[in-house]
Amino acid sequence: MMSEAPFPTVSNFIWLGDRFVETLDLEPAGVRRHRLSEASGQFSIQQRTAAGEHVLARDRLGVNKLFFAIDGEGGVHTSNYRFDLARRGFSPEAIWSVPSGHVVTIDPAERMLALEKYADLAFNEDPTESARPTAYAGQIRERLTAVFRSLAPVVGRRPLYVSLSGGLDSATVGALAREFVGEFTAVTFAVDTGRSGLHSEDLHYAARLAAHLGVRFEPVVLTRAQILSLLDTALIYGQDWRDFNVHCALVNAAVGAAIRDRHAASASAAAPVLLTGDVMNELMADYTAVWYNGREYYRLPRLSPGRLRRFLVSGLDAGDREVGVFKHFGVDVVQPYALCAEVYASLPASFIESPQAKQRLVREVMGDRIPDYIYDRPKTRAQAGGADEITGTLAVLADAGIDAAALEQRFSTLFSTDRARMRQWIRAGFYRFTSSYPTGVTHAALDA
Amino acid sequence: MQRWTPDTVADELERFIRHQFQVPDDDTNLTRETHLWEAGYVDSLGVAEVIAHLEETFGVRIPDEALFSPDFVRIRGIAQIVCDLRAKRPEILGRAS
Repeated sequence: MMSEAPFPTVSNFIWLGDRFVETLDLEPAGVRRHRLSEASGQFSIQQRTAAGEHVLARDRLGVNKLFFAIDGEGGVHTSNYRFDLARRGFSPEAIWSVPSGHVVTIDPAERMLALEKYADLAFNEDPTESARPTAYAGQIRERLTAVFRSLAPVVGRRPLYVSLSGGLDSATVGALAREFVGEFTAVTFAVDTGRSGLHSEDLHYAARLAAHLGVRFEPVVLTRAQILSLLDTALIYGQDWRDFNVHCALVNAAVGAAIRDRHAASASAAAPVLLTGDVMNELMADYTAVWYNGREYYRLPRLSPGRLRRFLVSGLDAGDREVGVFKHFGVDVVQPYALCAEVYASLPASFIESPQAKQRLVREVMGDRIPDYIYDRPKTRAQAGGADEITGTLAVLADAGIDAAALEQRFSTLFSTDRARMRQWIRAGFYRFTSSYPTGVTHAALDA
Repeated sequence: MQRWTPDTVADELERFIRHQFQVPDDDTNLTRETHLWEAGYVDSLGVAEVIAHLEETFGVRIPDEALFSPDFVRIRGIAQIVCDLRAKRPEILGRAS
């Protein structure tokens, strides 16, 4: 029979303007939408009302994931991990996602399900507004400062880590964390190349930056075999098979395992928390394809950056390469840029599409708090490892013959489904969801 | 002004899909009833391109809720969704188109 033991839950970091809270009271129904629309941050909420309804809500960017399934007796089962529900015996068709920025209300007695959107991120697609960063820097600086000031009492008493790649996004997070929160340990991933001290450009720049900030630096260097041993973990807890997410989930699995091991050896009882520079690339459409051994990876929809960012941001709904993977290792993740989404979304398309947009904006916002060598460095992605030489998880998997099709196959095996059905789980960056009460096979639960 | 009906929207959408995803004109497997995602004519990246094209061409905003609608998998169904969305737009209702 199915176990009723609760699943482990991903932590909420709900920002209500000047403070963080762990949950929201979504009763009565009349205030639900307003209360949710006031909240920023990352959360997944499951509550039972006095009337017996199940209320499920998820943050507007979909940083935290939330899945549910309804069994044959009308019992509603929820988890942050799809895998938990699969292990409990639900068939793939019986598992649904709560989409980002939505609240789902389920009344099994009435066989009723209502899906309501409570928040929408408004992107400024005006092609004529000013492309000068000075016009927006003040607002962004103000928001970032408020976020980090509010974070200080929440994360400052816990073992604090910042994921540094040596790039602009994480450098900004590191600099602001140092200024407003205090000391932390910088962690940076690299693949062991066998060349002492020359594992990756990321490592080199991150080490320099950590020294500049006056914080402890901890490289996480894994051999190719060690990285490959983490693949199933990356697939299951990263909740995605697409290569751009799996390669990144592998980086995070390596870092998460290192933090877990380090924390296990420390005397602190508080769970570690990690700040990352994620979400900024989506908000500024700052992604490009990567070429390795004559093949193109991380291809993007053929849209202008000003239009693309909306799809990149909504695509955060699917894939759990950060929060989900790190939580598996007992590490809470906070993504400060997710708390600033509205101000970044208000940047006009004309600015997003202007040359060196991010560099110019960050320089305007952060000034000399970030050293010049970080501004001047070509953009890289952690899973690539460097701009000039691809040394990251992309190369590890590609060289091992684990391509996109192999990832898809392995994921389908782990989740006991076939690839054709699996492809129905994600569409346009959203996990599969429903706007009506599941019927037929969709609510048939199987005994584990 | 172009008068859009389910048939003309479908025509335009098929033209876009054939062009954007390099489907030969003589590929008769692509019909108004073909499941675009299962048949592999449009992949996960292509969905974003289809949505962006629909929104730009027909002046509608495809809601998230449409993504997993059983109609949003075939050209005919998508065309109907677009026409329904246009009909709900107050500024469209008052026009001759």
